[in-house]
Amino acid sequence: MIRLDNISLQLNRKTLLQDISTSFMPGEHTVILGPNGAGKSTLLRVAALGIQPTSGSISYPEVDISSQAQLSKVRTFLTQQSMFNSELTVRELVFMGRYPYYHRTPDATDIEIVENALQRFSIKHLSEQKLQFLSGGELQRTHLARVYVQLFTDEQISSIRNKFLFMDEPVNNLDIKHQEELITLATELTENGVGVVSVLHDINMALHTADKLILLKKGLLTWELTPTEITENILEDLYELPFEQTGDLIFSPKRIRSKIYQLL
Amino acid sequence: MTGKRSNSIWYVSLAVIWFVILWFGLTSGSFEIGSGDLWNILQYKLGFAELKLDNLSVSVLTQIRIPRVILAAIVGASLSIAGAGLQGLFRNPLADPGLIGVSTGASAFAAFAIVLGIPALFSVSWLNMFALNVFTFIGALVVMFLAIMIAHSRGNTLLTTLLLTGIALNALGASVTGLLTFLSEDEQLRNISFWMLGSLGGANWTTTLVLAIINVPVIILLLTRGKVLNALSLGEENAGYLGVNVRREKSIIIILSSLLVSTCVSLTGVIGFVGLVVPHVIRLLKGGDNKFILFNSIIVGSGFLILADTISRTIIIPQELPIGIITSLAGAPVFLYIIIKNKQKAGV
Repeated sequence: MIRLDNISLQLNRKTLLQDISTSFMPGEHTVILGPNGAGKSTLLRVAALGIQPTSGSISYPEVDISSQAQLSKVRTFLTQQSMFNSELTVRELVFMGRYPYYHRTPDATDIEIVENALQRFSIKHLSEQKLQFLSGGELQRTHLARVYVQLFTDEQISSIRNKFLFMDEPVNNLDIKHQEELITLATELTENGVGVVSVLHDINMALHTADKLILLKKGLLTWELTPTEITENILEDLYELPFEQTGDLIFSPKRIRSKIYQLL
Repeated sequence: MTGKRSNSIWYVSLAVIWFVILWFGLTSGSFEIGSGDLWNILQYKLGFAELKLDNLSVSVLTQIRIPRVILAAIVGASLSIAGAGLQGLFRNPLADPGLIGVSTGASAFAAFAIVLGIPALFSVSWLNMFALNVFTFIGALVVMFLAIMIAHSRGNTLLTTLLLTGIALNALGASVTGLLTFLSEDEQLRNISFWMLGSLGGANWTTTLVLAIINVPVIILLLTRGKVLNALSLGEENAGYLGVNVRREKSIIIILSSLLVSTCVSLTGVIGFVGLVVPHVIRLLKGGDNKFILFNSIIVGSGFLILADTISRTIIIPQELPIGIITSLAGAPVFLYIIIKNKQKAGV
């Protein structure tokens, strides 16, 4: 379990996060929702120890959090489209996910894990391709494969238990089929004991996949609840936009729907 | 596509070219030594044959040419791997120790040290060289940290700022060197082109050994940073998530590269564009894996500088052309090519 206690973050005198306390459980998918600029990505990066909070404390189980090397073996992070060395090949990028586990050259286990991931994310046919020639979706899947292989201590699926995967808008650039595959992946990982924490923009996708929702508004944690507890009022308060429930765990902004009705 | 077979073709071709250059470097010069003579001396040294040559030829080869070729190899390898390290660190193919002002900074401090009389402090020449190296190293580090401080913004190094800072620091370093040269009584320092365009003319066993003692271990240390540089190519935050201690690794790479560049500058002056051209050519031919680039920079860089030095001392016998002229002639077009290619890619 990752615990955040009274986390605050100020940057250039602007408060990005304010006194946030929460926890992320292994085996659960936690989704952070909120309007633009609410601090969702910031919270994700603070929880993953990518940036230091101004105050508050974060604890990871059985890990010295001052050691990047130890941390990299228990949590991995899929950032939004990152800068990259476009001359590398797909396989070389995916192998980076094994860097925490091998010193100079990858061993048979590393190679097996990487080959499986290339297969699983349907990028095997691209493995010798340079990154600069990939489409946005192919690149996103390559990065996904990279953070995926970083979860494995050895080739056993049991070795990913109690680890954490952070994802910042992971469905960016993915078509509907690969979006669904991502949801399947998140489910499979949580079933195997991984704690998944992600920032999503699609409310309905979040409601269907999350075990727990964290709602952020202006750097404050306003709600922490399960998808079934979400109501129109909570969403309206969060996004300052009227919502209506149109099905089981399906919500839509009112305005757009009424326009659709007018068209009909 | 790539793979073991294409790699072995690559290494075999490299080895062949490298040894041809070595042979060319050892047999060319104002003093005639043919390949037969070279072969004879080699066999004689190994105890297989009688010496057929006069003592002069032997001493030209063993006291002048061999140390010079080794010096060229070490300088070429040092500048190239330092360039590869900095390019990886700044995530930019244009980061070259010469362009960002590090070499000139080192040469300015070297000139300063000479004016202060540092290289005459000790009666032993290699101690004096080490003393001079300390000064050039400080010069290189000062410029490196200045450039990074000015060009660094929120975990990113702004390329334009870095290069513009490099222009300013280069101008400053060059004028300081020029001024000190002008003021100095020292004969060696009088020769401003030595500092500005570089020369391996000062090569002997002492300079070569001093450089080897410092730079060979540093090169080996820098070789182990390939994984780190690959991780850093995803940005500093992502490198952290991959287990890299970013602050520590950045300092290590900066210090190692500065050390390599500064020792070369103190013994051979500023030799431009080597650190830019060599890693770039490797990247162009064999891709962006920094482990590969670092290792191959040693081979390609040493071969390139032996060749450039041989040309510089044979093209207008008995005079010597400053080696920097040759490397810049080869390097400037590559520099322009990278700019044009970046322009097409980024649309800026």
